[in-house]
Amino acid sequence: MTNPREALFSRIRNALQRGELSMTEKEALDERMRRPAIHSQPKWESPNLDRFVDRLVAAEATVASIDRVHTLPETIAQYMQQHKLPSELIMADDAELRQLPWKGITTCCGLNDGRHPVSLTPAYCGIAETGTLVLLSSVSSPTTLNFLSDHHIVLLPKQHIVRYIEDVWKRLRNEPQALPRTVNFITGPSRTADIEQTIQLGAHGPRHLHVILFNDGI
Amino acid sequence: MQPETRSFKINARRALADGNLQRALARAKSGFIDKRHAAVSALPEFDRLRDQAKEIKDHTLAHLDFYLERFEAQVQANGGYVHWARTAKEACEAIIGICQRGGAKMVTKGKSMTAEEIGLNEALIKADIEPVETDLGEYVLQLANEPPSHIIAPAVHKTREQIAELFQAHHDQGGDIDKHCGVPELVAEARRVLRRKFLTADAGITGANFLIAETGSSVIVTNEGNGDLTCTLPRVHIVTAGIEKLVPTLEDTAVFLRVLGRSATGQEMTAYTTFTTGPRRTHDLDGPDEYHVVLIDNGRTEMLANEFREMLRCIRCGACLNHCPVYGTIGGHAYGWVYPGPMGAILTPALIGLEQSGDLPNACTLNGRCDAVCPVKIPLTRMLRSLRERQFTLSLTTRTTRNALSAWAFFAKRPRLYQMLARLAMFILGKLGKRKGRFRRLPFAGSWTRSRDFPAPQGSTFQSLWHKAGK
Repeated sequence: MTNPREALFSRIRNALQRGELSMTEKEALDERMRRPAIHSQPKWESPNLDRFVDRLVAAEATVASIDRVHTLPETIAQYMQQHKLPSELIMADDAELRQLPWKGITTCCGLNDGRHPVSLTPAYCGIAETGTLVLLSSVSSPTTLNFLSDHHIVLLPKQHIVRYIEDVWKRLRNEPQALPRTVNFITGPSRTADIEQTIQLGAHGPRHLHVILFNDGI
Repeated sequence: MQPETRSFKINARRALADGNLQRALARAKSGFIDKRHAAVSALPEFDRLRDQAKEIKDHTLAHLDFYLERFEAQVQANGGYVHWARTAKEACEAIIGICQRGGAKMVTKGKSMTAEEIGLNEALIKADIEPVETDLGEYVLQLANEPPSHIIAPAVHKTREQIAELFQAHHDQGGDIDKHCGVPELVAEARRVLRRKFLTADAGITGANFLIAETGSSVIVTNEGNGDLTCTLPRVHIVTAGIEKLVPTLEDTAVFLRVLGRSATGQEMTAYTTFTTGPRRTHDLDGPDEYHVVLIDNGRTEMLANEFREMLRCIRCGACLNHCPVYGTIGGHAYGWVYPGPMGAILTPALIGLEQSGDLPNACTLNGRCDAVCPVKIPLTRMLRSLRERQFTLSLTTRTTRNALSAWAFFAKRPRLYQMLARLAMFILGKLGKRKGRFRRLPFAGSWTRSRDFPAPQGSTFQSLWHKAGK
C-alpha cells in the first residue's frame, strides 16, 4: 500500500506538470514568507481611538473609559450593579490586577469551568480598522475566560490600539516568545442568525462584551 | 451523504410547492444581499482586495506542494500532527483512529462543510462515537436528520415553529419550549443543552477557513463561539480541511479576512476569528493536549490538473448562493448534495463526477451575478457553460435536448433559412396572439408556459427591425 502523503504530493506535482521545486525556487518562496508583503488596506480619516470605539459599538459591545487603572474595581462594581450581577469575578492571573483594591468584589484566577458569570482579561492590543480586540492564550490568561462567562470584560490601554490587522502581526513577530496556542480576534459578543435570520446575541459565548479603556500602562 | 443530484428536477418542483421554504428563502435572500451591498459599498478598496485575494490563491495553488510541506513542518514544530487523506474514506478513518486512540466516546463539532463532504457523522456513528453538532443551525439539522441547505446558514430553510417542535421532541427538559417561542428563548435553550456537551466532550472537531503555511496555524471565522469552545475544552482537537485552504502568510490572511465577512454576512469582521497553533503550551491551564490536522484531497488534485483549478480558490462565503435566482427559488436541498448554488453546481461534478450530477450545470440562467460578487473572482458561469459542453459531448443530456440542439444548430448555420423561418413564425404568432397579446399555452413549450404566459410577438423579428433602423 502506498503512503497517502507521498501519493498526494505526487498527484499535486503531476497536476502542476512539474517535479519537486528546485532549491532556488524554494528559497524564493521562503523569502516571500520571510518578508511578507502587506496588501491593500482600508483608508479612513479619524484617529485610531475614535474608529476603534465606533466599530466596536457597531458590533454591539459596550465601551467605558477610565483615567487610571486603580479605579478599575469601582468601574466593574458599577457595571455589576447595573446588570444585577453577583460581585464575583474570575480574572487573568496578573500581578498588577491582583494588587488593585477589589473591595466588595470577590476575585479568583484560573480557568473558567462555566460557573463564573463575569470574567476579566487584558487584551494584547486592539485593531482600529474593525474594532477588534486581540487576546492571547497564556499561563495567566486561559482561553476559557474569553468564552464561558456571560459577561466578558476586557481591559485595554488606549496606547495599544493599532491601526490595521497587519500591525498586530508586526507586534507579534517582535515578541521574544513564539505564537501562543490561541490568538483570539474578538469583535463584539457572541451571536447567531441561524433562526429565521434574526440576530440574537449570546449564542454559545458571552452575551455581553464590555471593554474598559484606560490611559496608563498596567 | 448519498448524492441525490440526479433527482434535481423532482426536488426543485417539490421545493417550489413548499410554502415554509418559500417564505424562508424570501426572507434570507434580501437580508444577505442588502447586508453585503452595504458592507462592500463602504469599502472602496474592495475590488482591489478581490484581485489580491485571487492572486494569492493562484500563487498558492501553483506552489501547493511547497506550502503544504511548510505547513506540515510548522504544525509538527509546534507539537501537532498532520494526517493526509486521498479520499473521504481515508479522511474518516484517520479521524476515527485519532478518536479511538484517545478513547473518545462523544465529540463536539464546529461547522465544517468538509466534514459534511466526507460524510463524517455517519462514519463516527458507525464507529460508535457520538457526534454533536454545535453550530446552532447544524444542531437543528442534526435533530431533524437533514443536511445543510446553505454553506453558511445551514438551517436557513427552517422556520421558528419547526425549530421549537424539534427542541420539544428531543430535549429532556424541553418543558419551557412551546410552539410560540421567540428566537431568544430558542437560542437560550440550545445554549443550555449544548453547554453541557461542550464541557464533557472527549474530542472537538472543527473545519478551517484558512491554514497558514508560515505559522502552521488553522483559522476559524465564526460568530457563535461554538467553534472556540469545541477547540478549547476537549482533550483532543482535530481540524478537517481540504488541501486548497492553504495561504502563505499572516499578511496574506488579512486580505481574505477583509473580503470573507463582507461577502458572507456583510460583517467587516465576524465576532470571532481564531488562530490556533498546536496543542496547549506547557503550563497552560486550558486547551487540548493533542492537535491534529487532517488534510483532504478527495478530488481536489484532479481539479488542480483540469480547467476547474480556479474553483479551488473558493473560500466558501456563500455570496454566489445568495445572489443566484435559481438558488433563491428552490433552496439548497434541491441540489441534492453537500454544496448547493453556483459553487455547488461546479464542485459537485468536479468532486463526485459529471455522471452523478444530473441537471446541476443547467440550473443556471447565465445571468452572471455570481461572477460579479465572488470575492476571489471565480468565473462560475464560464465553468458552468463548459460543463454543459462536456455533458453534450459525453451524451449525458437527454435525447430530446440533444435533438432540439442539433435542429437549432442546423438552422443557425444557415442564416438565410433561419431568418426566413423566424420571420414566418413571428408573423403567424403575432397574428394569432394579437387579440390577447399573450399565449396561455404553446406547443413544444408546455413546461415553460405552465408557470407563466408567453408574450405574443409584435409581428416582426429583431433582425428585420435592426435592418430597417440601419437604413
